[in-house]
Order: sequence, then structure tokens, then C-alpha cells
Amino acid sequence: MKKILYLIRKNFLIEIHYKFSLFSLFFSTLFTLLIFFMIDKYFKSKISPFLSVDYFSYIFSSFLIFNYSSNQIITNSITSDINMQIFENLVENKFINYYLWSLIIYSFIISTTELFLFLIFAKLTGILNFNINYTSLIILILISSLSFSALSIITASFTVLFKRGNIISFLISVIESFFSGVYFPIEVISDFLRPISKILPMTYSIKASYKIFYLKSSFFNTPEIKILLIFCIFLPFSFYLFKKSVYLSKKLGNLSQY
Amino acid sequence: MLELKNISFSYKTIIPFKKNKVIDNLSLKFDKGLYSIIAPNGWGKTTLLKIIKGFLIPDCGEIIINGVKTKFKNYPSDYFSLFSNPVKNFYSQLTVIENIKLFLILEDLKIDLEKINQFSKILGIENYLNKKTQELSTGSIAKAIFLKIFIEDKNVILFDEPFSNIDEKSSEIIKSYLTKISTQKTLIIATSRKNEIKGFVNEKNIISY
Repeated sequence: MKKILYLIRKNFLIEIHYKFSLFSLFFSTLFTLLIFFMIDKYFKSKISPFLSVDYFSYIFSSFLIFNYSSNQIITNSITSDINMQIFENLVENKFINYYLWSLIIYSFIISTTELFLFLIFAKLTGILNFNINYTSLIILILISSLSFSALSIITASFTVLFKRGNIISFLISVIESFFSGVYFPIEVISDFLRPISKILPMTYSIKASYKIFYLKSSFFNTPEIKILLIFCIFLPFSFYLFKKSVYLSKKLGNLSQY
Repeated sequence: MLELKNISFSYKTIIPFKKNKVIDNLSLKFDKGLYSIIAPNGWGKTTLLKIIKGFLIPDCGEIIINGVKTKFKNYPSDYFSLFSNPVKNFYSQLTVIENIKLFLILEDLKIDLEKINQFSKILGIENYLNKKTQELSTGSIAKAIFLKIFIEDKNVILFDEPFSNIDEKSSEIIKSYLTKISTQKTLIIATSRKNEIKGFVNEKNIISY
């Protein structure tokens, strides 16, 4: 545990070093949400028929959950360690599990801090009417974070091997944002494409977030959380794949190359 | 004792598949003591040290540590310390002491602040411990890496061009410390300049290419 804590601390110290990076993260989310606030204000009648809450409320909950995946902290940290050529020191057989867990936890802390800051902000300004079940929310963000991390680590495995995993990471993010209902409910997507939504964990997280944020749905009344648990089985697989990539990269001789 | 048997290594690219052989069928044996590998640039010194450390896996060959053949899938990297290019060892955004603490904890080693202070004074970097690495000169970072390596106190220490960034006075201090510990450890210094190790490494322990 001490190793993980020190690695998380290292990530924080690096983040703090770039004074405005945490602020920019917060403000980019804030301004994105503002855009949707304006869309809701002026195009309400066009979008609302597909939703049982107003469009901005829908976007607010889905976007904060989407943040757990779209911030790409895991892939970016690994890419940065490769760029700084310090990566080979961190992925010795003995450290690799600690390294990955530290990234998962760090990413979770950043996204959760952001989520609660926005909840407080929304409560104080009174722009939204929540009816949150906080226990379910905690369970949802924990399980969502684990299932999204699996996907991030799988992407990072490609970065380690092919050095251009950012493109894959960007593609996944775009596919997720389109098919899992981040910006519009998946009911809007044609029936032909909807099966894609069903294989993405983000779809279930967003559905669950909507229920938890506005309908006070409990863990037991939110079957999407149970489905998300199934996606968590990819986490050990992602660790295995990452270790395999590091091993292959050592054989190719490109572990510290970018 | 450390033994390398018929080690070959090529750098490879996947797309398109290309191979660049750097080390071909190399065998070496090291006991406790101070050794030096002298070879020109591009010979593969860094590659060889990275193979020994476990950062690269050879195409073929064996590495035997104290009579035990190692498995590359579960390689005992923690048996070795590697001094390499100073800028690749530490996080530039963290202070020297934060970097050292991080790597000591990862290696399950004790953070002995008294020892860190003692060595930092010997190396003349006691005022740099709380400075961010990016604020230091390459020579000072190199000394900080020496500090980390001395604290780690591993059985086999590998040095890749260790004195290239360090002033003469500090080099002499480091050399005298390395001579002192060489009775207990295997120290391998890879360099392209023979004058760096002249009179420091015993002639019989110099491997020239």
C-alpha cells in the first residue's frame, strides 16, 4: 500500500508542478457543461421528448460519469513516463501491479473530486434539482472507474508496444461518447447501430447515473450497476495484457522509445 | 558471481519488421570487484547493461547469477542498480529527495535519512536535496543518481559512462568510494574513454573491444 501511496503522491506532485493543469481540467468541464446549458435553454423543445428530465440535467450526470473515462489520466501518465524515458524504471516485474493500481486510484481521485465539486457548484447555484442516492453513487463511480480503467490499461498496452496508443484512446473516447449516450439518449441512435451501445460499459454507467442522480435509485433497483460488475472482469485481463506488452517491448528493445 | 552466456540482442520494429543486431553471441564472467568494458560508441554498451539490469530481453543466451540460471519472465532486476543517462532516471518535476524516496520505497528499501545526508555531503549535493531535478545541472543530477545508487547498496552495480558529466574532483571522490566497496560487490563500468578508468580499474579486469 505504501508503494501505491508514494506513486499517487508522485502523480499529485507532478500535477501540482504544472500550476494550472488541475484548474484547466475543472474549467474545461465547466465550459463544456455551459455549452449544454445554453443548448438546453434554446433547443429544449427539440430534445426533450426523448428524456424524462431536462436536457441539461441529463448531460450533467452523464458528462460527469464520462469524465472517468475521457480524462485519459491512465494513458496520459503512461505516455508521459515513456516520453520522459523513466518508464523502464517503473515497470520492473516487482512494481508493475503497484504502478497500474496507483494510476487507477489517482484517476479515480481526480474524477471524483471533480464530480463532487460540480455537485456542490450545482447545489449552490440551484441550477439543477437532484434527488441523489449517495450510497449508490459511490458504488457506481467505484465500479465504473474499475471497468473504464480496464479499457484504459488495454489501450495503454498498445501505447507501450506501438507507441501510438493515443490514437486508439482517442477513438475509444469518440466511440463511447457517440454510442453510449453521453450527449444524447441512445434511443436517438438507429436500431441498426444500437447493439454497439450494449457492449460499452459507459452505456450502463450513464443509464445508472441518470437513475441515481434524479430518481434516487438504490443499488438494488439499478440493474445497470450489476452489468457493470461483469465488465470489471476485464481488469485482470488488462493487467495481463499490459505485462505481456512490457515483456514484448523489452524483447523488441523499444521500452523507453517513443 | 555474474555470468553472461552467448548473449545476442537485436533492436526490432514490428511494422515493417526490421532487425538491427547490436550484440552477437557475447559471453562474459564477473566476480566481485571492479570491472570495465571499454568500447567505442555504438558497440552496444548501454544495451548490454540494460540486458543485465532486465530492461531488455536478449534474443538468445543466458544470465547466471550466483550459479542460478535466471528466467527472463521473472528476472531479478532488484539484484542490480544501473547508473545511466542522468536525465532518464529521475522525474524532473520532483525534488532529488522525493525521487530517491520514491525509488527506495518501490524497491522495499529503508529510507535512511542519516545515510542520505552523509552521502550527499560526500558528493557535495547536500544543498540540492530539496531542489527540483530540473533546476539542477546534468552533473549535479548525475551525483544525485550516484547518491541513490549508494543508498540502494545492491550487490551488482552497473555504470554507463558514469564520469562523463562529473567534475574531476567529484570523480576522484566517487572512484575512491567505488574502490572501497568493490571488495564486497561487482561493479561494471562501461565507457568509451580509457583514460577515465586508467589507474582506477585493474588492467586484468578491463574488457576492451
